[in-house]
Amino acid sequence: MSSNTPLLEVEELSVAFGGRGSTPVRAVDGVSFSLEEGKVTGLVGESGCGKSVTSLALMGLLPERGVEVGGRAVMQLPKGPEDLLSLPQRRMRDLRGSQLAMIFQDPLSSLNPVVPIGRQVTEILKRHRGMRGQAARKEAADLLHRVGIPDPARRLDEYPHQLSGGMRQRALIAMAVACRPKLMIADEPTTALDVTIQAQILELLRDLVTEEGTALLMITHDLGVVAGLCDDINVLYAGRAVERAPRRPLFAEPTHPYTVGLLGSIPRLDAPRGEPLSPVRGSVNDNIDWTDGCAFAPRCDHYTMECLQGPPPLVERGDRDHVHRCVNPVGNAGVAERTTLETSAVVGEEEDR
Amino acid sequence: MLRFIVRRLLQLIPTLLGLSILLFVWLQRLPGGPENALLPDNAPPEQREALRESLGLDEPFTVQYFSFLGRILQGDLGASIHTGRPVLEEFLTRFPATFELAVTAIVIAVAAGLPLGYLAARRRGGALDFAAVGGSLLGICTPVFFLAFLLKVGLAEQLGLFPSAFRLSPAVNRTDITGFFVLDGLMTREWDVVWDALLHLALPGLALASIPLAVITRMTRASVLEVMGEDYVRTANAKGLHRTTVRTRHVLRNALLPVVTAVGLLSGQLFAGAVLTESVFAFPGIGSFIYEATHGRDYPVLTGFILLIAAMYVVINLLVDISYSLLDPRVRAQ
Repeated sequence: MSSNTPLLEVEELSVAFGGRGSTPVRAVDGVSFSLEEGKVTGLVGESGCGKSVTSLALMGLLPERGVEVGGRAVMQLPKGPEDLLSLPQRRMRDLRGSQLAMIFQDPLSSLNPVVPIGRQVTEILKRHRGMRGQAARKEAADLLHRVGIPDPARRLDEYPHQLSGGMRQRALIAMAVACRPKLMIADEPTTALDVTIQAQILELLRDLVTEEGTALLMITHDLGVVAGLCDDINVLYAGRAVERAPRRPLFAEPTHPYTVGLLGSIPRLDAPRGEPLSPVRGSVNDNIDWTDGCAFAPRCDHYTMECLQGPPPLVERGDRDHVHRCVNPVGNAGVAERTTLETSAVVGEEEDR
Repeated sequence: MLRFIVRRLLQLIPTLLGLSILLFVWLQRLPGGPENALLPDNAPPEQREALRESLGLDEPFTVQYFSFLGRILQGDLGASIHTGRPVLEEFLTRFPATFELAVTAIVIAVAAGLPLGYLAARRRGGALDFAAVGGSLLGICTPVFFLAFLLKVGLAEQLGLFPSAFRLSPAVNRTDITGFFVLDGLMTREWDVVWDALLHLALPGLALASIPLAVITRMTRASVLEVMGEDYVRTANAKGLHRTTVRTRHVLRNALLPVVTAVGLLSGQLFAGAVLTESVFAFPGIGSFIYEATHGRDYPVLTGFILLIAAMYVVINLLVDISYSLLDPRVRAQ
């Protein structure tokens, strides 16, 4: 595999629910991005923007009936590149857990309550690596140890409810990395955890990516997570990517008003006393259809009549890596915001180290 | 675990004590008495009084109750007014019949209800789902005695496929060991006895199974549907596990938890004897005897049987709780 071929190239991914009688709902609408080995790519946006649906579509975990998936997601597999979206279920079952793995949001509900942790780890070893008995148990204990679970041999026989929230998420991560997958998707892995545990889990994920060279797709609404972890960032809004950039330029010079709004809604310790937050006004419900213009327009402070004349295209902003979907981007007008945001990027980098 | 069992068994004492008081009050309030059933309608009042006196029914309520309690503590449940035999003996001779019938009904209900409910959930909205949901509604709505009559008249009397009454055909000879006909037949290898006893159990068992079958089908369906949407099932799929592993270890294992409880509670009811079904099929079990005892105001039999049934119910519930704690580690921890 040549080094400049991305591990996973997602092109024009779209997912629509419903149909047959009712108008289908487009949850994801032409999203493209690529994942590279050893890199963390962020998928950012508020609830309902299509982040989780994107990840489930890539994993082939969407329900089989009533869902229409379009586009391509070409992954470099040991036997050559293949489109994940067109593979039969049987083949996807072989790939899930071995080549691509997923970590979910709520660690308690994501673990089977009546099966011991050890069994939930060994079943994946048995399935994909053919390990059984004591060998599988030993490997499971090693995996738990690797993700930072103390006294792993004893933990094997415990049930999910006997573990703390952070331990549960570590156990789920152990299951995800059990077969050294090339690609890992983490869907809001820290949302259900408290802040100190969040930091530990993110550090663990970062370590796994650097040590194993795994490509990690990080799905989150938390820009703090993005700043500390992600190399490349895709900002989604209403099922479409509205801005894509490497971390530094995104935090330093965000151009899409939605990205600017997201960054402005983070409480900051270095902000002057009494300065109000500037949240994005309205809610996702205020969307208009992308076909009518920019879906974000009703909530945008910068919108002009031009925004409502058809869907805005993705355009490059100077360099190839930084693209946005906006006809009236935040440029020099947003100088005030830019200066504060640049400091935020620096803070983000420092946290990273 | 042992402490848990002992504690639960100790709970039997207040339960039975309370129940016995309730029973006593209830029986006192019943119009008529055993003398009405034992004596002809035109018997003179003096004869009635004499009989009441000889049965100890003329004593004040509290005296009656405490002498009853005193006897029970010595393990004596009294004797039937009608047959003169000890109540415990009457119970033990009839219990095997009811037990066999209850087990038959539960086996039918579980063997059909679990797969039916599971498949209905898997093919939600399909023809099988529709049939299972509709059929179980019908099963819950149909009175058991009516179904028993239908089966008896249709399959036994009209078509002659099954015997219509009793536990065994008169022509079949059996060796008695335990009183459980099927078990005895298996132990002595009298296969004709086993077959004949099973034929006799089939129709009353089927009639009795109707409601548990409907309940188990619906509960299994609802439970499987709920579990299939759980996050941990998605996790299992995300691990790439085989479909069958996901379905058994992750879906069924969890979906069966509430069903186990339901099966336990339903069995408790069945072991209490099916008064109407046993009467329709002249099945010599606890239910039909209670029916007769109620008519004859056989107080010792009624109190004794009901107390024994209550004790059995508590024990069955204990067994359900034990099996539940074996299946669900979250319960075990508490």
